[in-house]
Amino acid sequence: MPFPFLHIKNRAARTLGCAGLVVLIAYCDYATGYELSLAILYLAPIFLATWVLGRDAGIAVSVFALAAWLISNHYAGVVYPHPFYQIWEALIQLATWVIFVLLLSKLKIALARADERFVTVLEGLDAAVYVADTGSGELLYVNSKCRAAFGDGVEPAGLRQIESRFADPRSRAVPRTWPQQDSGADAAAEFHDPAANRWYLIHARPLRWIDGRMARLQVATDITQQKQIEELSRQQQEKLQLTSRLISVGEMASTLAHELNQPLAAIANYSMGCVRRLRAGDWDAGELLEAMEKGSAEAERAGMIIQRVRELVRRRKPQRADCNVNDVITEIAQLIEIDAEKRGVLMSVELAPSLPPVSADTVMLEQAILNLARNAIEAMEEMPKDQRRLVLRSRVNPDGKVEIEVTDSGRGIPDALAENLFAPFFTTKRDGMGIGLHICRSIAEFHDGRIWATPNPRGGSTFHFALPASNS
Amino acid sequence: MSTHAATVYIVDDDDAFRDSLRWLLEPTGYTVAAYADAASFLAEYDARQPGCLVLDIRMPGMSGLELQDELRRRGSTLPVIFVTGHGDVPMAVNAVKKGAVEFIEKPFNDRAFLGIVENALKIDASQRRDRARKMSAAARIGALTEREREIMRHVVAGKMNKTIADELGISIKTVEAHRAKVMQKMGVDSIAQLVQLALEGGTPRKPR
Repeated sequence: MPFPFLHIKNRAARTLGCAGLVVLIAYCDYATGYELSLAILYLAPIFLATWVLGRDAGIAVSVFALAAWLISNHYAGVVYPHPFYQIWEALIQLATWVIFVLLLSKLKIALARADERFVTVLEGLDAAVYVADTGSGELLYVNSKCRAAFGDGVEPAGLRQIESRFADPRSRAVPRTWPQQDSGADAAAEFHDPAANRWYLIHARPLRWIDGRMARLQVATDITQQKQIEELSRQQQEKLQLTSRLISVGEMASTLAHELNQPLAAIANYSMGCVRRLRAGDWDAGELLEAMEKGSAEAERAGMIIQRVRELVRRRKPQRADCNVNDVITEIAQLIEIDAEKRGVLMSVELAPSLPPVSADTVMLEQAILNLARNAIEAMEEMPKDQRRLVLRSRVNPDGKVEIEVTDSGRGIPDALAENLFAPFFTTKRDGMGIGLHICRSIAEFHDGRIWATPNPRGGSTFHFALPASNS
Repeated sequence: MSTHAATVYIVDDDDAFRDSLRWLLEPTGYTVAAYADAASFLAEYDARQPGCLVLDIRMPGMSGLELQDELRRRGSTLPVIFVTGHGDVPMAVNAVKKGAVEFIEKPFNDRAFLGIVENALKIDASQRRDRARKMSAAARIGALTEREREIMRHVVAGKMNKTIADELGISIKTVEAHRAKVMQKMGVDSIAQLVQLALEGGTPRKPR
């Protein structure tokens, strides 16, 4: 420290220190004699007193210094041609010091005000602001928001401490290294603080600190809320896409049947119209030809409809990747939650704490589970409201396969039907296509898995969907 | 009234289906009138013409169900046969509950369909006959004098001649004479027939 004096905290001690310094200078002045005037040195204690203790102390020390000077002059035997000269010199001396004191105290007040404004602005900011030494990482300045966000432990190695909070792999979407201060330009990046689960947008800019060191000013704005909104809308978007994707298969089958029925009905009508005329022996060849041609045009139309659907289906190739069955079940549970509630079904999810990953096409898997869950809900329609329970469960079965179970509390499956359950176009629903379970079985087979149903001991049935773990 | 003079109305937005259905129906001798939408059918439909309506349940614009409602609102009794594609069955069941004669799924067997059409036309014919009889009964009742109508009201209520004479303060002979006149004017031989006519034509109003 350049001023050991500043370490003295006590006001009286500081005053004494100033006075002592004055006496010391006065003695030196006396000792060196008349030829070497040391009066200029009195400025040192005056400066110290003014800067540290204020204007009045500065003036007091000035007066004291003048007295000391007069005494030292007297004993040093300084001779003036006329006493007036000594008085004049003393007054000049005193006036200079007092002007110095006044200017200095004004300057100090102005500086303090500027600093105050600066601090008020920084403290008022809704962002964490901190300045750190580029080399050592020592924090030179932190505002209150920063202290609140990152804790008070912001002493010497503080910057490292703050930075270590952002070493979260979740910051994957953003550059994980800090903006390079050497580039000389502003840099910004998003960081995640896992300890507090908050997101920050951090602007960094290099600057030269007051004492000449290279430092970095960083402003960290809390963007957690923004992030949450973004995340929420992204999730909703995904869910929407998933829903439309899953609905489309069932809808498509139904639409296909509806579309195909139109030309088929026309074909049947045209040909039966011909048959009737021929049977009755009342026909005209031109008329019959026309009807037959129209009939075959309708057959072509039917073919085009099938062609179109085939193209639609072909567009998506299965993509298998490691996935966690629990995630898929959770997704589906969220999707059917509203539907289950509407139909008075109490749904519960029982997930195995840890499952080996399976190699699967997530969309197909979702489709299969959704299908089973919807079937289960429909199977309980005739049950009293308090007896409609749906359980989605995951587990590793004794064979080491990952198994998904969908349990309902419906009437169960009659033995006579159990055999055909997974056959195509087999349905017990009034409006069913008989495709759902068939598709489920195809999906299971595609994944080298298996699907089967078992009756529950206390009524209802459980559908099991087992897949091999991807590492086996 | 022969069912063969009847018109089969078709309302379906599918051109090929309409055309093929006309082709199927024409040899049976029915008149066929086909429309691509409900509005053009309503614009041309004449309620006096006997027939039945073959109606597609799902159409752009006014749907089949809405057309059914509109016809009922207009007091039409035209029998409706709903034709459905896949997945419309619950809708069709609903339509039948609201008075449609039948529904049939596309594609259909020609014999089954023609049977349904024939049945619908029979229903229409019998409805029209009933209405005509009701109208003539009402007309005949209108031709009675005030006094005759009063006597008829009492007769239909099952009262003896003596009771009627006492209530009206006239002689039994006069009641008998009026009664004979009523039977003659209404063209019936028995009290049972008279009661039937009274039900169809509405009981003669109480004289004021």
